[in-house]
Amino acid sequence: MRKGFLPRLAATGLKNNRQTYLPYLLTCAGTVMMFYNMCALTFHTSTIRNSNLSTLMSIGMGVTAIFAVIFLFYTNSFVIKRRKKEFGLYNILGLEKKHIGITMLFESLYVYLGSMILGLGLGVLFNKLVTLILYRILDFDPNFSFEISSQSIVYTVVLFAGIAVLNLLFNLLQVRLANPIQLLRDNSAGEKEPKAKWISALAGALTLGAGYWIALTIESPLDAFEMFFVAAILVIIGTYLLFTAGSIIFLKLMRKNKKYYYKPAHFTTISGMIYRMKQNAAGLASICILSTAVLVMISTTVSMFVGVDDLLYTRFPQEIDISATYLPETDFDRDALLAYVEGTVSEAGRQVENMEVSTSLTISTQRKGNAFVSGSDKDVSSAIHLLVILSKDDYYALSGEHVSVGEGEIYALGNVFESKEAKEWDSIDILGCSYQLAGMGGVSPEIGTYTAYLAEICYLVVDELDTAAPVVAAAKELYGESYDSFTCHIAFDTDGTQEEKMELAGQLKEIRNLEFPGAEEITFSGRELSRSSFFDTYGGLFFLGIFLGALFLMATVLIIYYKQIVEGYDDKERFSIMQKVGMSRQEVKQTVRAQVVIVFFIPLLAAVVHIAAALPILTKLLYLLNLQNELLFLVCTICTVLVFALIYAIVYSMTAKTYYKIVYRRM
Amino acid sequence: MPLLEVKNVKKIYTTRFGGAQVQALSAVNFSVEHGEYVAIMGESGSGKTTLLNIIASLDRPTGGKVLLGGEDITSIAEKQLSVFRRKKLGFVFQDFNLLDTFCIRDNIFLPLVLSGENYKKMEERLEPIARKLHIEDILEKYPYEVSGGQKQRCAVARALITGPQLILADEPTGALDSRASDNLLDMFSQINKEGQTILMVTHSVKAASHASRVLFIRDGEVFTQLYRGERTKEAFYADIAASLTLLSVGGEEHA
Repeated sequence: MRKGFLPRLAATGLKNNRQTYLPYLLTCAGTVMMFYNMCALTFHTSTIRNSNLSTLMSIGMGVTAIFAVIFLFYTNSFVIKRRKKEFGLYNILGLEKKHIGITMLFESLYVYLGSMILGLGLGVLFNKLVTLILYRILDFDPNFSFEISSQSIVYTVVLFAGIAVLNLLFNLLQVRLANPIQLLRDNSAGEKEPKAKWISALAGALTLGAGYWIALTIESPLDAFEMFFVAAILVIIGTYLLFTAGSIIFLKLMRKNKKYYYKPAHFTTISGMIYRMKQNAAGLASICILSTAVLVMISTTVSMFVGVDDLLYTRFPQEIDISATYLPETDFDRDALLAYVEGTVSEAGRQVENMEVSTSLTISTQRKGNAFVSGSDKDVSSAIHLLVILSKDDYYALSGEHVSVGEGEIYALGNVFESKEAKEWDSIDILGCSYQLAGMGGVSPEIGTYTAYLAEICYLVVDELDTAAPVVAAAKELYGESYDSFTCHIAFDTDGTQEEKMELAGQLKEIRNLEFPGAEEITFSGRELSRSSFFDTYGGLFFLGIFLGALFLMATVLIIYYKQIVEGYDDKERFSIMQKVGMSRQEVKQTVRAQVVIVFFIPLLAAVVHIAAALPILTKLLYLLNLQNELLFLVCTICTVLVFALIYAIVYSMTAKTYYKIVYRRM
Repeated sequence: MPLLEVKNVKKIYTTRFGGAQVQALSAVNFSVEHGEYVAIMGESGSGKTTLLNIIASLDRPTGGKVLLGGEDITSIAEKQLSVFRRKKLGFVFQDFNLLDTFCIRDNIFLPLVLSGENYKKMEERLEPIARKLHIEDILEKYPYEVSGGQKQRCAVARALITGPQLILADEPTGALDSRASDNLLDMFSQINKEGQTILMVTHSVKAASHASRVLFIRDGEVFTQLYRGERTKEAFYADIAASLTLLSVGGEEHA
């Protein structure tokens, strides 16, 4: 064999299959570009101030890498399917399998080099833009020097070389396993009609139902956090099963109805769909899952970013929050602390507004009847109840409500105390300490300081806080010395501009280093001081959401494209037969269109249904991330869905055009 | 009036870039009477498939007319063509052209479904045809599950079920072994005896010897034709073979 023949054969092979290889090359290059960018951002952010951000970016890098492996493997399998016939022909014409293997090696090499040059080139080019976008989102100073990240290039080159080798091995195996006749025929192998799998369909309906049920009925944000992945996996499994088994059962039932089936419009569509679903159901389910993932990612991150002020105000209901902890037996002077704070504020020329001062014991428990026990007790699995014990004077200061309670008694306020079960109680038990109940009721809506907590909150009002001293002792015994003491909270807003607020917060922050008699530890949090770290986190999430959303969208688009191309070749023959038997061009077009539309829009429809079902659980999850503005989230989700549907429709019209071209060619 | 009249049909193909012109049919004239069984023979490239495609209204002639039952099919509008094909013509192809997505029964029903026929009527029509063609047992199977001969019989059933005026067969035995070929040709003869007009294009002398008349085509014209008359199949076979030899050697005489 002449030298240089096989490399040239490989080049011709690629050229002659432009319609499949060009999109494949672009897919590879696009993935390379995305990965390079994610890599570069990870290394770049690790050199600047924020570790939070670089952690987020490295998660993004990991996701992109995993995605690249799966996605390129998937696309490659489409491509090799189209080439088998050609390789079979080479084999028959006297090319040994070894030589075919070498040809394939060269083809992979060309595609790899092409995608590397194109992808890295675009990646370096776009890196500037992507970094600028990230900086803009985070409100950073865009004054920094751009550079090509050599470390990222190494990572990218190695990762994609690995993927290329994996794909080549897969392709070689495909050719090796088949004999030439099989290779020649592979495209037109008569496929058996799929069997109706009732059990799979039923399992699919059950898992999907269970996933939806969890998503729709979950009550507390903490449960939502625990159950979200369970629900997501159930829905994914259910989607796959229903798409593969359920669709075929549904179509077969339609076929059983003879009156309906033997109508020109239904006859060819239903039978065509049964045939199609066998090959495509898994692909369609993947499209559905990817679409859902894109929608979830973008809608949540967008609404968090848009609602970052809301988040701040939820997390920090008041501008400044200072708390000091002390032991019941020590003599803590709350007024001295208060005087220092007020002094510092007026020294800075600011005014205190909405001051709230209270001293309480906060303890996290689980409920067992009328007993509130340690949160780590394995036998109990009720929701977390956060108990806030405070004096009746402080409760009045917070809520404006008078509560009458005698010495050593508790007046209990909270949802649980309004329940039927609670009507029987005349005492409650906290970590083993028993208290007589003076009365029960719901929580006053006026209370602000404690709303940042996510568990169910119960206010237990006592005559004097010292009544709760035994609970502190019990807690210390259970959890060790470092546990709960009494905490004095001072929370307030101030007037002034943002800069003035920042300045005051900076001064007040020093309170953490001061000594107050009796105080164990003093903590400080200021809304304005936290703003920038909030921006980093939510801006970074927003960026990741958009970036990964774009990546997944690209994948969705390409999967759809490849599907239509592959099907176009399959369908072409069928439709030309139908035309010979007396189907008009018009009827052929109608059937083709009906099938294409169904195949395209069913995944989108299912994704939208998934999103609708996921709304409640996502809302709860966002609670955990301090976003309580449900309307904002709803609006963001609807907008995301609309934009996504628009892009999807554009992709549809473009792919459908290519598909029609293939099907109608020479008809 | 004959059922089919082909008058002066011409077909010229122009290559894609407008260069050379290829004359596939120069001037074809013949007619087919009701109930006839006509075979068209000729070498590869003689234009017989082009002729069949024109009669089938799958292709349009460059000049001339094709009358089916007195109606000129070359002037039927594109939109009505498929209805015309569906109602008046039945097709049997060399490679069966059955759809893998349908079971045999649905493949046979296809033209009727496209005409909007009612399901019960379809069943009624299928029953005698299926019995005649011995395919009652495989109606629920799929094309890839049955043999070539069975596939072709299904294709014949699909062609018959609309009650067409004319059956057009393009090398119907081309993909069958000899036993299946004999079987199919016997069926064609039987169908023809029941009054069905058949026009068949074939390479096979044996297939042609079943017909009542054979047309030989050379260089885009009807070169000669043979009537079977009272001859036996075997005698007719010998005459056809002789004519073919003459045709390829290049004799000029007309029979």
